[in-house]
Amino acid sequence: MPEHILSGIKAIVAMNMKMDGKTQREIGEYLKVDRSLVSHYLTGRHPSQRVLKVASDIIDMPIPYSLKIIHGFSDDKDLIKNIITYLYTITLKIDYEKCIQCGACLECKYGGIKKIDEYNIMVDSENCVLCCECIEICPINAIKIVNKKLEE
Amino acid sequence: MTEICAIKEVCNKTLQIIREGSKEKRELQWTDDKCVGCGICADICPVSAIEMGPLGAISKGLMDAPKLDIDNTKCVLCGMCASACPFNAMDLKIDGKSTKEIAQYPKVLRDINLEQSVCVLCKQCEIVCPQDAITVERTTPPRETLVLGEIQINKNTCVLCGICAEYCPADAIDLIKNDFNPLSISPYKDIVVDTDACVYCKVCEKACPHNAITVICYKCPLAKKIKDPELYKEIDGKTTIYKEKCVTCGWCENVCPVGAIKVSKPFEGELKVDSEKCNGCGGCIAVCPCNALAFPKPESAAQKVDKIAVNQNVCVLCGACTKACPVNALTVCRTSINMTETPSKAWQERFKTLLCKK
Repeated sequence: MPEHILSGIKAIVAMNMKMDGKTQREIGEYLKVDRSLVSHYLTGRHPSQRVLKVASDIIDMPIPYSLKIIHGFSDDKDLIKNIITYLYTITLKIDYEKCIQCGACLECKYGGIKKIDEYNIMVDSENCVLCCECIEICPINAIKIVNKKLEE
Repeated sequence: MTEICAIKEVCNKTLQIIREGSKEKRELQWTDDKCVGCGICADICPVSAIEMGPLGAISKGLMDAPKLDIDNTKCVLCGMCASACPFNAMDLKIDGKSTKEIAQYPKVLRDINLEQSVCVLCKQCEIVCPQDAITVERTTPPRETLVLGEIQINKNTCVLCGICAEYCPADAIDLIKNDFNPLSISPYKDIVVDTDACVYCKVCEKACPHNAITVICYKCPLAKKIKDPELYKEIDGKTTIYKEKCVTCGWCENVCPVGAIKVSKPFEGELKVDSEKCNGCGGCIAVCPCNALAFPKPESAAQKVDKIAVNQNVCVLCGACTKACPVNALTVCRTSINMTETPSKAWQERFKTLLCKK
């Protein structure tokens, strides 16, 4: 069942990518699926409309919830990160005015938050898979999901 | 990401919260001996992980318990408590390095300094220091270098009446008792002069009804030849301040007659006392590391006095008394903190909570 919904989400991403002018090969590589499957996604042969509906509902949920659910579908964090970055233009941001330097977020198992020196930390977007667990761990809610475009 | 639970180790009178992650190891250590129970750590803790113990009972010696407890499930090891503690009772180490050595972590500043050359070795600071943090060693030249003379008691004419001893202002004359019995009937067997105590004042010579005492004093004729002892020459000494014991209350600075000690305190402000609320339990007096509080004593039977009073000059504004008071009769109102800067806005804001609300 989770695999089906993940397929639904992939199909939605594939359709978005197609609209952005990406080739089937590029889509296949990005989503780690066969070109033939990409073709199924794009022609609507697979997955079913019901699955697509659920997938679309999940994508439209408030971001922290949808991220959590999407992360639950696969342990391939590269893939999940690809999906999320295509669906949402988000990044994590530390509110340095709130941060108390407790270091709890440094334990991110993906290395998404790194120490710059013995005092300062920053989000390492390369490593961050947008699992957002640091948001929950931060004792004073200093980490936020922000719109990447607005930040740049 | 799995949240790493900090572990707590309680050993003797120290408490350690340790969080060892893959990126860094943090250890927060609290030492009961250095803690005065001020509760500044509990006030500044952003996650309310510190709870103060029953300070009144502990400081009165009615109970043996740690002055505070840190909840390791709440503590995030940010180290704010360690930076705010004015008494070095808390320390946070990140990968073995104390945050006191990291510039961005603020430090509450307080200090005491002595100008030895100005100090007159009067020892008053040593007596008043509530933490026994000062010792004054003083050596004076022997008395005989100042007091010259001779005294003689003519044992043939002396009747051992003891009148001279009664008058002697220096208690330098002693009658030696005799264990009298039928074979040795006198109550005294001798009279002696303690030349270490005698100042050759001639009172005994005057007082003796039998003219048995002769005193010669050389002090006046030889006055010019007797050297006046000088500080740090004939009278030597050294004042030692143990900074790790000192709480910078300012008692010493206030009693020093020559201004040889300069104390810089961690806070400015005022300790407000609501004498009406006070129930006279004395918890504040017991916990105060500065001995700044007292129950005023009435000078006459009918005089009405405040139930509790504070000497602001020797108060360090730590607030331990406010934590020990069961009826909130005391409030500490700090107007500024003597501390180093921190770039962190969040920390600056937390430190501001230690100041009194306007």
